[in-house]
Amino acid sequence: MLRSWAFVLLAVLLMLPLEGCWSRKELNELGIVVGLGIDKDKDGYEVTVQIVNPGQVSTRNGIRPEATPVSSFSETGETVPEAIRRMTTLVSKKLYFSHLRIVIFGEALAREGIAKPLDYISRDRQMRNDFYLVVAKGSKASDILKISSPIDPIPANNLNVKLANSDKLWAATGQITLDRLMMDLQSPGKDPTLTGILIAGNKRGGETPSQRIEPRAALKYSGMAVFRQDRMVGWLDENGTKSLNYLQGRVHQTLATAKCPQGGTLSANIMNVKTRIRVGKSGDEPVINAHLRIEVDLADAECKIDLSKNESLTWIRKQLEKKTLSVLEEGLEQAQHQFHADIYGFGRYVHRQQVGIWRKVDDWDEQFSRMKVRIYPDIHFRRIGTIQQPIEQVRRE
Amino acid sequence: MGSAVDRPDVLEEAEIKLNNSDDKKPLVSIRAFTILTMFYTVGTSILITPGGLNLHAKQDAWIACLFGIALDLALVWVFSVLGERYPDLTIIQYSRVLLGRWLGGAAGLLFSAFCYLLAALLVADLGYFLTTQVMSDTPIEALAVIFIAAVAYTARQGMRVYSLTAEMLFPWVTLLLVILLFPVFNKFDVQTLRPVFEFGYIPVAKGGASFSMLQEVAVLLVLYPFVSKGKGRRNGYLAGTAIGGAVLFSVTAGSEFVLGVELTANHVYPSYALAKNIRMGHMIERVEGLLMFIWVCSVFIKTVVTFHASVIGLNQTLGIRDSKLLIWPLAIGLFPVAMASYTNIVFAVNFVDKYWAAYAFPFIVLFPLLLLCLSFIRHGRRSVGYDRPPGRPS
Amino acid sequence: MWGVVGVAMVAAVIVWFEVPRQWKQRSWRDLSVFGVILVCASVLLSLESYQVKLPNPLAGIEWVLRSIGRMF
Repeated sequence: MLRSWAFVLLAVLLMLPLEGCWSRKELNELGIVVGLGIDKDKDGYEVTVQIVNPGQVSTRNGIRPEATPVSSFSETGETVPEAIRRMTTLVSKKLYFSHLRIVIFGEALAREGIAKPLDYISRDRQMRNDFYLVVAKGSKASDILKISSPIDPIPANNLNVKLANSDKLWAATGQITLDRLMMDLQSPGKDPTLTGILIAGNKRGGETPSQRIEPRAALKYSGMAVFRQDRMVGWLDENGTKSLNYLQGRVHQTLATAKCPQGGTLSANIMNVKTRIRVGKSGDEPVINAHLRIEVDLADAECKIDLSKNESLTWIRKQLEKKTLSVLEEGLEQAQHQFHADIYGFGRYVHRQQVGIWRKVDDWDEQFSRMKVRIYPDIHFRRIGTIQQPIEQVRRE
Repeated sequence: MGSAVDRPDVLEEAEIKLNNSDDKKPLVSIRAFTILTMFYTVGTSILITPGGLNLHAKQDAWIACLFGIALDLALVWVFSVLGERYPDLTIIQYSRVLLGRWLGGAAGLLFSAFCYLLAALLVADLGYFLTTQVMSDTPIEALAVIFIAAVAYTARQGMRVYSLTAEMLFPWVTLLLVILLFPVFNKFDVQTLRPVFEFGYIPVAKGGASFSMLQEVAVLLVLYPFVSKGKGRRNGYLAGTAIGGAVLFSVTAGSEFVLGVELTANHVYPSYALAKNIRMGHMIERVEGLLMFIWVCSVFIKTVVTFHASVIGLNQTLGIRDSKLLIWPLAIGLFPVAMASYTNIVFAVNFVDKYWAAYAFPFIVLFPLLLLCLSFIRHGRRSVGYDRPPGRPS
Repeated sequence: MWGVVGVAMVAAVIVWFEVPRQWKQRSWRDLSVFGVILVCASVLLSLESYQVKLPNPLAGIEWVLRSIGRMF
């Protein structure tokens, strides 16, 4: 009898810690950070966070027009965590980083080195691996986080989804997550790259949510920042980024254009790219042979070309191969001779396939600049869409 | 039957043991023992080994892991030979038979102390893991107290209860382990394993040897006599170690593929970082909190077994009649030992990395091997069975 | 002060649960071992609650291993 009462008491006492008193955080106490921007400040860093106002995001309760779905706050500090702690004097909620969608580095900071601010982002237990990192081009990170977006009430979410989508459909951007960036920083055969983001349009106008159909300012991804070790050394343009993605085998789908035999342009949907990199030897120097197998569909033909003949397809194939080769070689030229940074990760392949050569090299970036790279694009044409002959070909004159 | 050395003394102990078990039915079925062994092998190793292996053996970590598992299996095979030679006795008991009353007793006491310290370290390991990754505001003492209370209560309920508990938990943990390894299939690329043996065989061998000492399979010899007798017992011991080894191998190799060598070596708990990467079709995301169940379960069962082994060892060395009496006082003692041992995480990681293998080796390798040699010398090639003490109905 | 009170309470609960059975069976040996271990554990636990720095067994092991290593 006494024993069963003791058990009941014990059960009740055990229920008390089940509320989870110690590390508990109530949901309305949390400031969910979706965007983090880090800029260089004279004594350290200027950190900007974009926090969600949950009441404003859902459309059910009636949105007050003067309140925005997100708020952004900036604060400075000697280290990144110090700035974030200091921000508690500004923000009424406890900052919670597990839903972070995007991290933006200011260009000035990137040129100085991103390894130091990255330590906090790696070490903190709230940070996960599903956000992207980008570099701000032509503005500060804090400015980027102040621009509102038309489609998605949360701009940082917009940025995240935009990057993921454009990475799948257009080879001129690259989604870089924290793990990939850390891998690139720590392994000796590859230099990191980060996508660049800029404000297209009127910066001031973009800060207020727009009543117009065409927004005053939009955030656009443009090019990629090239790093040597952890310091940024320059920007890759569209072709350079394409070459980066092709040679890394990170193209899902993209579009390429080529010239028709009688003038005019056609576009081809690149559906599938498989890249194989083999490292050969020429004496003591490594030689990279990159074999690309590219599957294409025809997207549009803005010229006169007879698509019922096989020769036309052969011509298109050859044109595409020439175009691909020239784009890739242009990018390679930039990386080798302008930036001296192995952004393709060829060093990793040399390490894996020709260990002997790898051991002898002291400065891989320097070796990379001198290295011979041979590219062999191999294009396979598959489909042409739903009509056969181009409109230019069949229209009345 | 067997030699007459120390027979009356040992016989009394055999009777005591049989007194505390439910006469004919064995306390632990073979299947339960296999599952216990599997949980025991996985234990805290799933948390701490991938990092160390990747740090020392780099991209050959998977080879070092396989080598370590092979070493463990070889040890288990040898230990099962030893266990079968004395099917009813724990290692503490036959150390007294073989080494004599005083020397054997002292050796047994040292072995129990080893198990006790190990149990305390396991508690501290789990505490640091939980406070680092999840509940960082909670003081580690609170977690340790609750965990120790649970372990002590479970150990007190007896071997039958916790072996059945392990059987019950097994399917759930397996399901979660399968989910944990999902991101590996996407990122599986054999090229990341090259170049093989870049730094030669020595780092791989050292990594594997160090790894094999972290499973402490010899402690299970204390539970061995309580398992149903017969050939299945030995196979269960081997199979459990093999399955646990397979789990450890998958996690080590998996984090090599998904996270990469440098990242795995730098993370304090790489398997948790692996869990953070699970993303299946926008539905199964952010499940690392659920996967905590794997680690908490495996550490819990390992701690229960180790702690119970140390209690049994102490009971048998000192000739205590009531096997459950000392559980709570010893459990209270676990807490200060655990808190005093791991002063901070850097010290802990350093100790495990540099000193654990050398410290554990005499206890979990030399000691049983010594007993095995002595056993062959003293009792020859026959197995020494004490299946039926005289005067007791079968 | 509350630390020692807590420890004493826990020890008392344990004694209350475990000792009567042993007393009835008159197993003095078991009881004495039980008593010794309970006292030691309680003392250690109380010291821990006062934040006294207890000797670290792992540090001791490291010292022993390092000394042995030096001898070779």
